[in-house]
Amino acid sequence: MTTPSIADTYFTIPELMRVARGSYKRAVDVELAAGGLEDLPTASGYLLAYLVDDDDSIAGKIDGLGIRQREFRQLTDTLVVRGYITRDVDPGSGSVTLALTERGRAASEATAAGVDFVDQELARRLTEAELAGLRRGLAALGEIKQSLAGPVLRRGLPQ
Amino acid sequence: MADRPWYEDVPLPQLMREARDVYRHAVARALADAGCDDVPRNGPFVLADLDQAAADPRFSSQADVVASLGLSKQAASQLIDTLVLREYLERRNDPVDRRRMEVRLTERGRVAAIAIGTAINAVEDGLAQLISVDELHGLRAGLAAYRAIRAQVGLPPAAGEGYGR
Repeated sequence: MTTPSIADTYFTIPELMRVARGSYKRAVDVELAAGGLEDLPTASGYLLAYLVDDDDSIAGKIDGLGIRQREFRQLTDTLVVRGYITRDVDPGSGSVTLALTERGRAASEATAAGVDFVDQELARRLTEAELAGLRRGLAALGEIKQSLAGPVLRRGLPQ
Repeated sequence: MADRPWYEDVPLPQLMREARDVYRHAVARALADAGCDDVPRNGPFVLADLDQAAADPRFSSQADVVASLGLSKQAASQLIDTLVLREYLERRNDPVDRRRMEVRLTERGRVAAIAIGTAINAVEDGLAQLISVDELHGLRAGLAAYRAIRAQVGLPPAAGEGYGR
């Protein structure tokens, strides 16, 4: 008889999820620090990734990030000031174009390297079936979360 | 040939981000439905771990019920104060060691604790309907692997917090 693993025995799923949180952020932070890019604002790795693959509109980027327009504007302001992106406004149409600077490209690569490190560690530690189960399970939890969307979800727990 | 499932090509950090907080949202909704929408953040972790007997529930050490949350002493103390003030907990001096405090659920706290447990079970029932037993094992194994990777990337071991069973 095989011994049950820690994954099956000791922790509830909410516990496992809470403990799992932060792995990607920390791995990315390590890579950013190695490149002297510690001032990259939290959550902007996603924005930089969008800018590398610039197929999406500004509205699409805001939607994909799951943030409000004002937050997006603040984030891009910070990224411009810190030299990660440039912002150009077409004087004729008023349309805005965002583009990575060299520093932004380095931060994007560092972000990808951090994510890749964690993904490779997962692949090393898990069987293909377990990795597929992880994907399916996270997707299912995301679907359940979507089904819970409503006024209470948006307000969240009171502080 | 069958279409690839939508989640096959989604980066894992994004799947993690979208799945995050599902339990918190379910619990928030259940608490609101139970008329307990003023439970403070981290309060559900405390309430869910306490004895839920209807009559004369057992007291637990205040230090023990907050230990697993990884909060500062001041934050933990404020959390308990709030739960007492909002009538979710009853607090007293430990009769054996008067320097220590003990807490237990009030009737309102019991209602909240039951709502929390029900919400968590509902998420897990939903999960069981959506994925196979093998996939559930993969989810757990994967999340446990993240726990090991935490240490590799220099994160401190997480406290054993969670919604109790």
